[in-house]
Amino acid sequence: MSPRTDVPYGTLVLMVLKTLEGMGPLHGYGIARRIEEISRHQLVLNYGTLYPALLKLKQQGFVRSYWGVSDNNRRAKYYALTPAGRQQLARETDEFAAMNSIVGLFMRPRLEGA
Amino acid sequence: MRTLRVWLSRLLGAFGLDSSADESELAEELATHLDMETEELIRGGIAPDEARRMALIRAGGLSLAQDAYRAQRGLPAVEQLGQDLRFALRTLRRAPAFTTAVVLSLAIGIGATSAVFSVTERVLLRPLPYGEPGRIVMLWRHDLKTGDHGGVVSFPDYLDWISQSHTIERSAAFNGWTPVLTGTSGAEALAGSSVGADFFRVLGVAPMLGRTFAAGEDAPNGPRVVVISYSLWKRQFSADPTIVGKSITLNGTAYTVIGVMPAMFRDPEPLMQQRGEVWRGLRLGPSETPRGMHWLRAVARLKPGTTLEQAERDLDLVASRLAKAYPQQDANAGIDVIPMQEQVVGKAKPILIATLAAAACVLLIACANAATLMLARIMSRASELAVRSALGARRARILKMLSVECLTLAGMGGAIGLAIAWVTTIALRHFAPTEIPRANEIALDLPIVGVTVLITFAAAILFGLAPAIRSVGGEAAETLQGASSRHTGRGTLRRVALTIELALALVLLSSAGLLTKTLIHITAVPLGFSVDHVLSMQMTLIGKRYETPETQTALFRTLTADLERIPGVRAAAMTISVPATGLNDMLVGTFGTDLTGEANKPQTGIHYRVTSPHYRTTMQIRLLEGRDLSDADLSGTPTVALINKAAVKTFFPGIDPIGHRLFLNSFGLKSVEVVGVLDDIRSDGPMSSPEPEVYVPLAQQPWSFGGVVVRTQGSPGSIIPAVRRVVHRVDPMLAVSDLESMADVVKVVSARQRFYATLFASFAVVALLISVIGVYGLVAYLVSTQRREIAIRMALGAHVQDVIRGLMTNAAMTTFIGLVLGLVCALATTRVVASLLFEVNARDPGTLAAATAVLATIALIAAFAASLRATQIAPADVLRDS
Repeated sequence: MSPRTDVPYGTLVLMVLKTLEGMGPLHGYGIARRIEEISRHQLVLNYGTLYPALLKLKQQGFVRSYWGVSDNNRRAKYYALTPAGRQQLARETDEFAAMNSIVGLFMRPRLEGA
Repeated sequence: MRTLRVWLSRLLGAFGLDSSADESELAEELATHLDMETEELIRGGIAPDEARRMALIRAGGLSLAQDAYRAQRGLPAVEQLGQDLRFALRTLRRAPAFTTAVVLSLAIGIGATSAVFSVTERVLLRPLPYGEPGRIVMLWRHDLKTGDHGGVVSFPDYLDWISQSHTIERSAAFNGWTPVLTGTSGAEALAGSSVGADFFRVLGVAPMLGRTFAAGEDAPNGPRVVVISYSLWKRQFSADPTIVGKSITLNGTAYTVIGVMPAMFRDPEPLMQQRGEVWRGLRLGPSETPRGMHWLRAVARLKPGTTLEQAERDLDLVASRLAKAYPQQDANAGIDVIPMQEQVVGKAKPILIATLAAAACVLLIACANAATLMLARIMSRASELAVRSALGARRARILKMLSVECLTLAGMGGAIGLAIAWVTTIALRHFAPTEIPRANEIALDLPIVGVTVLITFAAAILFGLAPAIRSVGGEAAETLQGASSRHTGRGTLRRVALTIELALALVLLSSAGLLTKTLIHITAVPLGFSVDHVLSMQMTLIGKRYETPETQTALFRTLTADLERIPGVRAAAMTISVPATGLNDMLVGTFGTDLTGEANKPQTGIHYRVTSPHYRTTMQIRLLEGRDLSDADLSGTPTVALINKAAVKTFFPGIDPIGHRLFLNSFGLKSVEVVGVLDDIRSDGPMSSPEPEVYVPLAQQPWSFGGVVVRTQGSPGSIIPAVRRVVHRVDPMLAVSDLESMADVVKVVSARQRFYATLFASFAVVALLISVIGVYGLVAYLVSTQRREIAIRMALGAHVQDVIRGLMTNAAMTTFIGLVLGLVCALATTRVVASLLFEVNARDPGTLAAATAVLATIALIAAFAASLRATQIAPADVLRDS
């Protein structure tokens, strides 16, 4: 399957928040790399998708940003989860799970009278 | 909640006020990301150039990323709007002629409509400034024999009306009172009323200071108390907060001020076109004035929940009961119940609505004109629009840009229009108090401003949308290739707009014409008395000096004699009622003549005029028979009188009245011998018909108030200072008021017609101008778009005259259609000004024909002037260029 570049915004949010939760504060490149890795390179995020999304998360108050220094001594902008972000992540996770199970019910093969 | 936060951030972002989101930071971020990606790839073994290339591909369009980021950061729609606005202002500034034309015509249209709407809303729609105004009515006597409505009533009748009705909660009779206020600063004649005790309670208005009349304070022997108006309180008493309880001197008598009315209060039915400033109790007992003597007005408040029909039926019953009980006086009398709102504004309603329609016409014309101008401009920007379209602008985006331009123009027009409207309402409030009822309430307030804004938007849509939509429908490529000259040069939209403009202009022109003709008629009506070279004034004799009839008569005799001695004065006289003022018009009943025998019940009324001997010569009223009143007619000599032609027709039909006697139901003279016959005069102004009048000598019927008229050699105004000096010399405490020429007095009668004639004429002129410019524009447009065709024709041998004739015919057709449409509309709508017309039919063919002719001529002249541009076409040049 060729890599996908179009990601529904809601899914992207979940992935970004989850990444930040698991990895702690990260810069944009770090987030993109992580998501690519976890998705086993089936997802390729371009800048036009990632950065506006990060801005929106900031506008919503789920992440905050600050300038810091990266591993190789470069100045980079880091993004970190806020408490509100954590709550949102929890909500989104539950939402996703619930949706998943409902849709799953439709996907299960029929038990009687195939 | 989150959404709100997002929107707030985006709002700040749109203005660049959000921290740490600006684009230089993003650029750095993206660069860092790119570098990190590249380094990672290099570490993986890829060559640096290749690594960079791959990283760039992965990044996917840096400028697109920046655009997407920018869109998220701010509010793209708003930013776009700002962009369009700035661009619109720039382009408009580069086309000053176009911008001025559109903005100005819109401003006039919007301003006029807004002002007139403001007036209409306040005067017609708002309830009167009284308590529960829906329950207030005026009661009038309806003479069933003559058919006259709006008649005044006698006191005994009024009392019966009230006591016998079931629908009236409270009421008050009232009449005019013009006392002279004397004080330290001299004497001033005031306008006021004598009212029943419940007057202010009927109107439901509380005083600002003190109180109004208590029950019984209108009785004959009641206390001498008055209520004064806010304006009087400020002007004469310096807004003294302790005025209540103080004593003031009116007509030489001390009155105690018991209250002051608030500033906004106005008398319900303006008497003598003046604002009342002082109110006293009516001081009438039931037996004091005869049932047959009608002179009072009545205002009443209906019981809660009573409908007008119920009140009317109730009072009809009362009227019929009175007719049976007092057949002499009330046999043919009905009672009219008129709601106060209708009383005050009823007459003005149709004409105000007509004015609103006229203003709307002007607005429509302005919009139509703006539409054609917009269209022309868009056509000339065809290549610019084509470029935009080729660069990727969607149709909707271009439309939005044009709309912003439209709205900007409309906005500017609306802002100026609002200023015009504001100034107009202020002017109307000060200069049109008599033409428009409740003029003092006119103001520009927030709802009207809101309506103006709406009108502005509607105008923008009207004039902008059609051209814009039409223009964006073209093909970009074709336009870019220079096919701009290949528009359909028929200009359909322009024609439609022009047709509408011409039609509306004709309607306005016709209305203005009708009103002007009315004015001409009014001024041409022979009044029967002299209007030029006559000065008129009002005075009241007050105080101890003039308590007896002898002193009153003596004063007037001395005064008129002294006035006649002024150089430049030909004659002077006293008269109780100066013609065309409507003041002191007394109608007394007659008891027959010596031919019919003295009746025992009053018959047809006659207007009772008390005059001094030189009245006839001062006013130059023709003497048809017999002799004039003279100095020889004194209190001891036989009582004589002059009657007019109308009176002869009524009381002495077919015979010579000289020497016969007329019996009157007056205060003084009960029987007079007719010694002369005067020609009829129109005592109520040019638009009234002569009524029976009897003129009695002042010496035999002493009177203490009325008018003095002076015939001058030169202009009446020139002797005013001399007149004042004479009056002062005769008695310094005499207050003389309303010093004006007879010409001015008569002009007041037709003030309404003059006001609206001027208004409609202004509208008509504006409409005419705009339409004519439209005609010129259309032909100029035809010339410019048909250059090639014209050039070809001329090259093939056609004369310039043929070309011009062709263009003119073209324009003439559109003009013709417009005029026909206009005539149809005019026939349907000029009816609305009918209430102002005098001896002019609303469909007067002469006026309509004249208006059509004027419009057609001017339009054709404009068309001709524009078609002359065709002569500037040099066929060779044009054909070479294309």
